[in-house]
Amino acid sequence: MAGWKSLFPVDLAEESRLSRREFARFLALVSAGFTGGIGYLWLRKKPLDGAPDPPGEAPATLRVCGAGDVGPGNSFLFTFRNPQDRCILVHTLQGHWRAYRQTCTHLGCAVRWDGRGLECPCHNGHFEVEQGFPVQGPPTRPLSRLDVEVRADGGVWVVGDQDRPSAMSGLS
Amino acid sequence: MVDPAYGFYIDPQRCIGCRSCVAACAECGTHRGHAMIHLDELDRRASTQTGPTVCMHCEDPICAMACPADAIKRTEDGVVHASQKPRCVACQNCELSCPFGVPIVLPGLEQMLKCDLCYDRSSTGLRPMCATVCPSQALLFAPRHEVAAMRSSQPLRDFQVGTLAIRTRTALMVPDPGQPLNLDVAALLDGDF
Repeated sequence: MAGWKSLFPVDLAEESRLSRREFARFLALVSAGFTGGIGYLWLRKKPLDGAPDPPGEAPATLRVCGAGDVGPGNSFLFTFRNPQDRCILVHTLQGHWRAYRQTCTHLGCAVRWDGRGLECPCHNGHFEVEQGFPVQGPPTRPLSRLDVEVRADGGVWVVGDQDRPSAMSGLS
Repeated sequence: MVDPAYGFYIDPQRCIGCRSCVAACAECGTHRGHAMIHLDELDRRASTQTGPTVCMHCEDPICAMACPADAIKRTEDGVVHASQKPRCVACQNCELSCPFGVPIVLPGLEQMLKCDLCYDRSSTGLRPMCATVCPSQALLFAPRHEVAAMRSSQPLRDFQVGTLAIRTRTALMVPDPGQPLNLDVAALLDGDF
């Protein structure tokens, strides 16, 4: 039988028939496609940076609130660089102070404190509170983090942007 | 699936030209109101002889081989179907290639339709529409083993078109089916009809 005849069979039943060789070829091609696709995605993956810094001059320091105003397990909202630069100060149950920008690194909704971590309600993304790394949901990059100090005057101060954490620092 | 024990038999000697088959064919659900039967007056000046033509359902269908769109398919019961609508490009290759002149590309519909043995009927055990209405049973759908006893003519299923040997599912009833019938299509085209 000529080669083209086997490709275009007259019999209807032959048309849906799949030979072992064709099936193996299909599997190999699909596997190669998946492998290549994963490799391509790996090559152009986004670096594990935090959210970009918002525009505006950073004030050298900002007194957010008094240390006694926010008890452990509570949060406090403030703005830092400009009125649109919304940030969240968290007093964790362990007694640490943490401050992050509220911009979720997935699609930019405002994250909020849910008592255990930071939660983005838009797509159910969660960030752990110690370093701002994503732990659940679509976000892949950590939140933009601010440096916090508790000063002798009893105030909680934000003293500037912190360097973005890297994947390695998150794993260590 | 059409019962393989059943054959379709065309007996032109019995045809009286009543056109019942043509009317019934158009009634068939798969034919969309169009008759797929050609009823020809063979030599109108000299004779009243008419000849019905339904698809011979070749074992190696020439129409399907000529189809560039892979639109003509045969089911396992040997029935060659009308073109598949999504594939047919109405190129008329099938019309030109068929030595029996069966396929029809209808203007306006832009799709080849042909006799499919009334597949909606014959696949469920009913006879094709034409065979149910033919008053002289020139078109006969019957068990193969009964035909020899029913008729003096005998079925012929082998044809010769030039160098091409054709074996068909549908049989032509002829008085002496010894040799394959030589269809000289070119001679017909040269004739003064």
